[in-house]
Amino acid sequence: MRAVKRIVFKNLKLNKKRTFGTILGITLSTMLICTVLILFFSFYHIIIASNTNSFGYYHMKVGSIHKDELETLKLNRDIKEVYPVFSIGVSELETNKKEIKKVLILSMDEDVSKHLGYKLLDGKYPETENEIVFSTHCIKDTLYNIGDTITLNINMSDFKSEEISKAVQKTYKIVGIAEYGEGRPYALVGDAKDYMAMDAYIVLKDSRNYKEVLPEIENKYCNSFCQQNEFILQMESFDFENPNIKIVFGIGSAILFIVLLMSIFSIRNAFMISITEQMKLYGMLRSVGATKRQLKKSVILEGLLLSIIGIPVGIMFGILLIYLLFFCVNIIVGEYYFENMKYLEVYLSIYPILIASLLSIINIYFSSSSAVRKVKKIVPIEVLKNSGGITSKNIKVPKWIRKYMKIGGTIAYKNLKRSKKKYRATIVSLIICVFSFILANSLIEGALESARKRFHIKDYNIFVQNIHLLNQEELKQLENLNDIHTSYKAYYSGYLYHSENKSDGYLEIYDLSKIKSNPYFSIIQDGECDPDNQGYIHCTSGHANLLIVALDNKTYQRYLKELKLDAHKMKKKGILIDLLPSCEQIESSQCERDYVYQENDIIEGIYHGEKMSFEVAKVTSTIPLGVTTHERSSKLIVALSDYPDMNLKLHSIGIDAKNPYQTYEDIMKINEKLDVYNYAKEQRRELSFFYLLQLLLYCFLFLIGGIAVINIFNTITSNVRLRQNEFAILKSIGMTQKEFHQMIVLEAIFYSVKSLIIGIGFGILGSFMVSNYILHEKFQIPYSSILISIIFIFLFVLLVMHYSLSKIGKQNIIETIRNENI
Amino acid sequence: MEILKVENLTKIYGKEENEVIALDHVSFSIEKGEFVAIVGASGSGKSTLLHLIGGVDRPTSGRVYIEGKDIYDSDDDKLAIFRRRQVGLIYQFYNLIPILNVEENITLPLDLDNHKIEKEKLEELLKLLGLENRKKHLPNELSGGQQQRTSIGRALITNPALILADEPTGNLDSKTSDEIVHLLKKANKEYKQTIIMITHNLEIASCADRIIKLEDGKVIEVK
Ligand SMILES: Nc1ncnc2c1ncn2[C@@H]1O[C@H](COP(=O)(O)OP(=O)(O)O)[C@@H](O)[C@H]1O
Ligand SMILES: [Mg+2]
Repeated sequence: MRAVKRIVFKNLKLNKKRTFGTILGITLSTMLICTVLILFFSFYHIIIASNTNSFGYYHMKVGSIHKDELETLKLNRDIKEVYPVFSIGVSELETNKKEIKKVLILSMDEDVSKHLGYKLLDGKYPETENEIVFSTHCIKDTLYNIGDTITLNINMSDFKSEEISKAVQKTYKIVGIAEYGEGRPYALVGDAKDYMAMDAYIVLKDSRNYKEVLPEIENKYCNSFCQQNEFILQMESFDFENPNIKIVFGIGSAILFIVLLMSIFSIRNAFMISITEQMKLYGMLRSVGATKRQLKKSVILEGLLLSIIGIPVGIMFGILLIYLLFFCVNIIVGEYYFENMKYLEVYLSIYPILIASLLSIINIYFSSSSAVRKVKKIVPIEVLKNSGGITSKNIKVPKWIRKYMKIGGTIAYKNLKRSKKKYRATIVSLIICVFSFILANSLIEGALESARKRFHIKDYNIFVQNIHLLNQEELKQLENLNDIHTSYKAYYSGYLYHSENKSDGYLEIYDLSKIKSNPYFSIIQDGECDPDNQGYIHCTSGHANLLIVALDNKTYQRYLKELKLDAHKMKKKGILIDLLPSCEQIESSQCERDYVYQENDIIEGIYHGEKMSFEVAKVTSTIPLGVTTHERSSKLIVALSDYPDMNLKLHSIGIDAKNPYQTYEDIMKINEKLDVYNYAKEQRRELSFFYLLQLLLYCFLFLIGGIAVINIFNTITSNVRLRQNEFAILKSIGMTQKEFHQMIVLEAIFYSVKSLIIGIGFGILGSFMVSNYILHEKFQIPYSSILISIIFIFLFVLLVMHYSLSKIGKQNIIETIRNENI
Repeated sequence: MEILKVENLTKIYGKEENEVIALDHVSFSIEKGEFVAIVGASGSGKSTLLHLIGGVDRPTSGRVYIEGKDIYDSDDDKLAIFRRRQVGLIYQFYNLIPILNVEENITLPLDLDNHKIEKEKLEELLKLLGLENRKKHLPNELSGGQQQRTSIGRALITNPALILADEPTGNLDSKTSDEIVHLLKKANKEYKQTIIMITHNLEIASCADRIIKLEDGKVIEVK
């Protein structure tokens, strides 16, 4: 045994290159697992942090709780923290725009305010009864500032109590400005002796079983209302109801799968290369009488030795890589993009490191076990004769190969056919590389697509409505704005929301059976419109009113594309918007529709006294560009060019302006009746998250690609090393360098084609499964990634072949033959 | 007619302290149709000499003329083409291509030149080699003697000017060795094939027309 051990050690030391290759394999795969795990952990925490930063960290809000209840709540064994928040009352604040803001006045400890996401921006936190801090949203457009005193009339009537009003007047000194999540108007004061209600925010000890714990607490303590912090609860218990988050985690798991596949393969490959290159040694050991057990021990020993170096180094590099990655992201985009979080932080914990090490160890164990199996099968003489795995099949070389590719092609072809084993490692490497690339690419596309939907990324940054109120002159001004990339125009038939409450200009639907009787808004009472309950469809004087919105051609075509509708079949058809955007995948009571119309139904009604009918091409929640997303009312979308005589007026435009802030000012100047929104800031924030996701996914692709590349490199160079002898013989018989290179290139092309066919096949199958089971999208053949794989594989294989041959090319023919023969 | 002429051939391996003078100003010539044996102790430079004659290595100094032409005058590719047309190499360890069968290994030099293989000539050669029933076998399915006969076939197929054999019997038992030597002699007699063979076996060497003896890289005797 000692002899075998000594030989193993010596062998490792003598063949530094191969040993290094194996260690590199282990290091890389450990690094990959470690990086991806830390990335996931960090991202998970970043997502939670981005929410808690704005809205605080708690699991449930218990409204209007009594003082003694608060004490018992604190003693509950499932509860870790209870944060009391006092509502003092509501006051009104006048702005310099003659607007009235309703301000909620709260009081809480400074500590509690920090836990709940309130951030002091300026000044100090209120301590005494007479000190107050306003939110930025509150103080905006007012004349007040820090240091001023203010007198407020505070309405302290609890909406539950019977008292009509209980108002007090109080004078405060403004000591600071604070900010909270979504920027609603509020103020914080220092003392809470007299308050209208007390709410308790609860943090659980273990939120994973919230479905049992929270209802219990609700039953006991909920006097008026309770609200679970669903986002945090679902994130922490990995129990997602939100389909978008479900998709994100589906993608995450699929990526983990690819990483595992890649790393298993990477390690296996490294071991197999090492074993194959040592076959002669093992054969020799066998022939001098080493037992199988001894060989097995030596292989396992080797694996152990290499993993002692490889795993820690891999983990170190993994951690380093993630820090580097986040560092770069922060430098490039950090300050500009992340208003909420400012910087990406690595969330380092012991779990990813443990998991990565464990997976690598298991992986190495199985890889060396299968290497052992290979060693056990050694028939010494065969190895020494260097003849393993060749079959003497009689093969017919196709005529075209003989004719056009000459002897190089013929030998390459025979090589591939008779000595499949020799290429197996290379081909498997290539297949896995191609497969992972195509799969990862379609995952990334899918992830980005669903992110695009999730963040409702608009293609415009300025939105203008009420344009119908402009006169010709002003309209011209609006249309002549320069500094615009594109604009999306919508023409409305009526303006119920936007002008005097007149309902003409709507498609009047008299068939009330087409209206869905909604349990929440019982619009229809005894078959008639209920005048007190118009809901969103303005059911008045015996008919419902459906808004018709026409789009200009460009906007309409884009909308059809988005809905995947065929433009040729759309003549004079309408698209019915009658769903909430979030409703397509969720079934919820709030997701009732207004109408019962389905695809291909005909909507009939009266428009300006004339009978009209529209065929429904699709019922959707998707709102076209140029139409406001703020109101929830059903609309029928048509093409403007289909109905030139309906007298529709331009109502709203979505503008993609080059300089949105300037354009906003310019439009405001045209007419103050215009409703103008500037989405530039919001868009920037949403885009930043999107870009971040994109960046990380591509980094990941790069990582996988890099490891695949190293794997292929290792396999091909090892293959060339193993065949030096064969090459030398061919040269000694008189093969010229050119013929030799031709042979090698053809050989590379042959097996690249083979692996590409298989890899692309699996890749298509994989992306089919991804789009069907994870993304729930219609499957599309990933042409671009297939093309990229083909080009890349050919280029890369030829390059590596060239490199490894140039290395052995320098060696003398005779020396090579002599080395092999001794 | 003089087919080979070696002039002041010198080969030095390594540099400075590690310098090994494998061949030291070796000169001799060989007539067409001769069967020459090279003998000498192990390490005396026999293989080095043979490789330099065959053009698979380059000398430190000196010249090798084959049919009056200096073979080291040409570049690597021309040398390779010269090799496959004018030289047949036979090694101790056969050095066949493992994935090609007997027939394919033998015809390899012709294939490299895109020459049509004459069926009759191939059959005749296979018969001469005694491999008629083995032509579809791969090297690993053959005995040592059969493998060596295949490599002799590969050397003979192009009718080269020279056949160079480096201890072709070194790895074989005496009966098989006799067969191989017999085969080479037959080629020498029947095809007027010029053959240079390295051997340790004095009995085998004694069949040769001439014996060149090397010692420490120098020719010390030509018989
Ligand atoms: N590649 C090499 N590097 C250094 N020395 C070598 C090399 N090849 C051969 N030699 C030396 O050259 C001498 C001649 O070797 P060789 O021609 O193989 O001898 P022979 O075939 O007669 O046994 C020997 O001393 C050998 O050690
Ligand atoms: Mg020798």
